[in-house]
Amino acid sequence: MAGASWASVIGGLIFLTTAFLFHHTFADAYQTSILTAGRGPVFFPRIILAAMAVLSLMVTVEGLREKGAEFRPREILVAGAAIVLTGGYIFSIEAAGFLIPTVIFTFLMPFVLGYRSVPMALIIALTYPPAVWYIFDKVFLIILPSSPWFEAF
Amino acid sequence: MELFSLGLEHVLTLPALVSIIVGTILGVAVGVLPGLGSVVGITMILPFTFSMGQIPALALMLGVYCGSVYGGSISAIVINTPGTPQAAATALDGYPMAQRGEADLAIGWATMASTIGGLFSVVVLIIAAPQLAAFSLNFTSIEYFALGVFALICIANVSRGAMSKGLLAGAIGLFLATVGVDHVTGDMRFTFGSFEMTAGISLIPAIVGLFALSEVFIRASESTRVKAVIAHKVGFRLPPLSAWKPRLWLLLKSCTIGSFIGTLPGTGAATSSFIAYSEAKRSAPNRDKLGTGEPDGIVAAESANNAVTGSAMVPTLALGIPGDPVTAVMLGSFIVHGLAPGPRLFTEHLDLVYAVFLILVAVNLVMFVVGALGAQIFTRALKVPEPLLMTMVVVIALIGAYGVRGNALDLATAFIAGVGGFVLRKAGFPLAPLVIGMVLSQMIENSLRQGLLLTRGSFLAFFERPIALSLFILTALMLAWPIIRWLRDRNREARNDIKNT
Repeated sequence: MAGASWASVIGGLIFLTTAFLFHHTFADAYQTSILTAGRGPVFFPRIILAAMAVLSLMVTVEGLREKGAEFRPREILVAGAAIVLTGGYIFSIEAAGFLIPTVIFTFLMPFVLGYRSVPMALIIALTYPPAVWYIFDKVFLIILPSSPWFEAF
Repeated sequence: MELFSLGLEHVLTLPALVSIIVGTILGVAVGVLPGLGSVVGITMILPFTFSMGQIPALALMLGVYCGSVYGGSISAIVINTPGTPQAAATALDGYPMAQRGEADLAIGWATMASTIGGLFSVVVLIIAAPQLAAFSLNFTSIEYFALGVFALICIANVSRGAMSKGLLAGAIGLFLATVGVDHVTGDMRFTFGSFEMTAGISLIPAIVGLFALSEVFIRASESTRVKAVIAHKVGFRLPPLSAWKPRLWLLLKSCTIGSFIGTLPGTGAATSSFIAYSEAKRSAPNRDKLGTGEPDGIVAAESANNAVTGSAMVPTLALGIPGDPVTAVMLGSFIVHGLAPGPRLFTEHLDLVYAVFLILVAVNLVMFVVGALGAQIFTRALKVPEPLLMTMVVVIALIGAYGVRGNALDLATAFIAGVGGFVLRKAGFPLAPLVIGMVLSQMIENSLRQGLLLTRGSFLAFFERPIALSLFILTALMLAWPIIRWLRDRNREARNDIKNT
């Protein structure tokens, strides 16, 4: 992949996905053409997918003329860590409720983003999530996911 | 008149008035902080609106919208870093004024110009929206199809980056919105047997991911950070009336430019402020001094970008077609609150339309007071460390995604959209067409299918209707514009070569 730009890589991936989805529109489940005079559930998506295929090819070809993707290890690592931490946080909300994962996330995320003051991060982690939880769960009555271990939150 | 009184009654309630003030203050704060912007601001306050009534919720969102467009000017003037892209042109003259020790005067010019621009655009909205809504009552599904396609192509065409990427992003948005139940036949589409997917991809969580989460990931991937160094005395000083007199024509022209551009799909406040600034550079009384700390530049940029706020609501309220991601989020949240923008809103809920007009007037007046009294306080917000701020944004934005349906699946949608948005932005794709594509997909699909029923399956008959034909011609011109421009440039170069030889 040396020399390939981000645009050509993404364009290529979109083209492959589009080709798969376009093929999928011919699955038996969608064959209701007699009832719908050819304008069944995949009539519109097929037009869009055809356009996407052409456009993704154009983007891929145009991308070949662009500068190759530059991978700065530190930046990729930081962005990757932020994505993994956010993903872990989101998926743990369902298992452990809103409050506990939010406290952990609010403490860790600033360090991933380059913050270095432990006391301040700790103060924010111990005050901000409970405040947010109280405002939404108790004042605005947006019932946030609760943990399986504690009745209150 | 009775409906107007009813609209006034809606606004003159404590929750609505508090929402106007709080929304405007929050909006200015969001605007001041570089990188957050109007869309992230509105997605952040979304969870607060879920338990509110229609009018207070609208007031809060409109306050954040207008306040954020203005707020960007404060950081542009004080630290030479526009809080929002809309305020980039303001920095060109605002910062040199601050360097001369006139930051307070520059903020005074910006606040006054923003307020006048905002109020001007409300007048445009009040005049244009009912006319457009009444005119659109003649539209059939064919005109709506043509209009939807035109709006999407416009947004894809003028978005940052290459046109093909904009069009592809728009097509991805159109496709994503087709996932789930087909509203015409009741069939499942692209759910691959998953029950959770039958409800489709929810718009608000997708927007939260695409704009708020991807912004955090983008910031994480960038090693350089903006450090706010406030070296100037910040305050507020109103320019004397005599200083306004020679600039009235410039002000009127910039307001008109902003209001006109606001009604066009996809252009937005950033484009309008740069066009107004260019026009000021061509024709302003002190054009030679522009870029050196001349108030003309601030007046042009700020009145034009705030003149977009009201006029951008014209197609959103009258047709249900958002012009940019900000109005797309607002359209989504209007629907969450049981309001369906479009011509029927004007015939069935005119009192609510009047309430929106009055809220916008009130927001612009409050914005002036907030700017005058709070400029110094808002600049302190610039000292909040970015990593802490971004972490807080993630938490609040995710509650916004979750709160729409109270479904944990929406959090996963937001996360996937966030990662997708990050990758697409890294590859130079604009995200605005993707969101607008998602919003317009159902309208375009339904009107296409209904139109084909009307014409007994003949797509060529779509071109027999004058309004639709005009829109198709405009769409074709938009698509052909890069080729036309390339041919024009090539001819010009060839002529220059001949001249030189």
